[in-house]
Amino acid sequence: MINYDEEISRFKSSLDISAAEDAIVRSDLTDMNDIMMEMIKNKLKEQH
Amino acid sequence: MDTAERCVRISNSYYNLGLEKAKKRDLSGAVPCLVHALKFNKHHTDARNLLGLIYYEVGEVTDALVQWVISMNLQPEQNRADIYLDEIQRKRGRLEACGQVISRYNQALSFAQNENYDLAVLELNRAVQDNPKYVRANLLLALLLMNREEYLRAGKILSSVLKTDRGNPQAIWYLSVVRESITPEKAAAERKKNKNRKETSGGREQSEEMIVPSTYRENTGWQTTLNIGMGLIIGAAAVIFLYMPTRTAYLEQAHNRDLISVSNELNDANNRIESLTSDNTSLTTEKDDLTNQLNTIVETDTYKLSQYQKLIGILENYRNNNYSKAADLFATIDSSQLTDIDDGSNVSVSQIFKSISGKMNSEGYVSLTKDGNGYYEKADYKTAISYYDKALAIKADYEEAMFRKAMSYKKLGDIQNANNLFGEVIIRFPNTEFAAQAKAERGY
Repeated sequence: MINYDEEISRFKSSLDISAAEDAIVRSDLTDMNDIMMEMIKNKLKEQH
Repeated sequence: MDTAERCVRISNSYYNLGLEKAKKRDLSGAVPCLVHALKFNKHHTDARNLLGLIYYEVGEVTDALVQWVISMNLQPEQNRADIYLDEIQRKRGRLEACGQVISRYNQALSFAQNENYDLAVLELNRAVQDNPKYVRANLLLALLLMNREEYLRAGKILSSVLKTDRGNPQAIWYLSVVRESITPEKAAAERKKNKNRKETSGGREQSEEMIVPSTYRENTGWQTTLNIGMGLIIGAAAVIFLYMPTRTAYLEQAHNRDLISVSNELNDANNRIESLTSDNTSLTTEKDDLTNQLNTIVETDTYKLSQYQKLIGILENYRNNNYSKAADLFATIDSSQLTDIDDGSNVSVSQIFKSISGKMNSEGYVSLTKDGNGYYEKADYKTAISYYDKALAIKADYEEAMFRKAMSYKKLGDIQNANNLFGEVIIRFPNTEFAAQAKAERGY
């Protein structure tokens, strides 16, 4: 059976239109390629 | 194959999987695939655009906008996100309408989490009316209706959600609960209550039938009327006792907010006026000060010019041997105002004044006294006094001028001044002829 109060508490609010700009700015655009490049850079630094 | 190329391939695989699911309307399943595709290659424009489209389809317009704007930033040319964004922005008021629907859902969620279920249902009804595909709002509405044991309506809503997002696990679960919970009696009661709505529902009939067990039998007659009547009474009571107070409080809050806003603006305006008034006062004071300074400068200059004019007069009369008139002017000149200006002309005003002041100091007062005596003889005592004063201005201890002045006062009947001057002559010049005459005049 459903625990209604608990289920309702799991719902999240939708992102408001006015918050779109902030959401774009805060977006994490790091992809796997970026992560690997960072790791390679760190490795090279350690070697030097 | 290098690592970067491998990342691109993995990203493409995830994208293909997401696209496949999206084509089958398994939007919930497609979203994580597309998110993974973007984690492996953020430049996968198709994946990002499709993710935005899915968000838009399920009513999450802001999330869609975020994805499309990022997509446009990463690939400004030949990008379909440009068309999507243009589509939303071109239709006037569309974005605002989407924003209102989202606000309604957020408000309803707040009501629901604060156990104001009736208000939450009202807001959600409006939200799903404006955007029937808004999955999150539909799910919350279905949950609240299930809580009220309105399983038929909840079932219809969940069916519509599954038409939009076939793989939505939450909707599938809720629908299974609805199927388990509904009984023929409950379904019948609810169906009667919603009879009118059922008649206009058309195609949705099928989805209801899918939920309701085959043992259902419809009741008619007085029970229907009674149920409708009770429903109306309960509805009216809910509006009066639940909705209206909250609405009134909301309006009062809005009114108070407006009032505070207006009050703040008024305060700001008053502060600006006070500041401007203060500035005005300050500027007026400054202006008055400057005017006074200007007047003083003008007066000083006039006074200075007057002294030069007198000097010219002295020189003119001196040259014409009119010593009496020259002495008259000399007695009143303020020599401190005569200053030399180094303008290359080699003319020294102070030197000119010095050259004539010697003669004036030694002889001028005698001429002036003689002039005074002339007026005295003509019985013009006031003019005579003015000449004696000028003589005394050049030579303060000239006893004749002092005595004649005293005599003039006596003639004018000003005994007090006359006696004072006689006394001064007697004290200051005791062994002179004028002292003897002064004593005689005082009656000693």
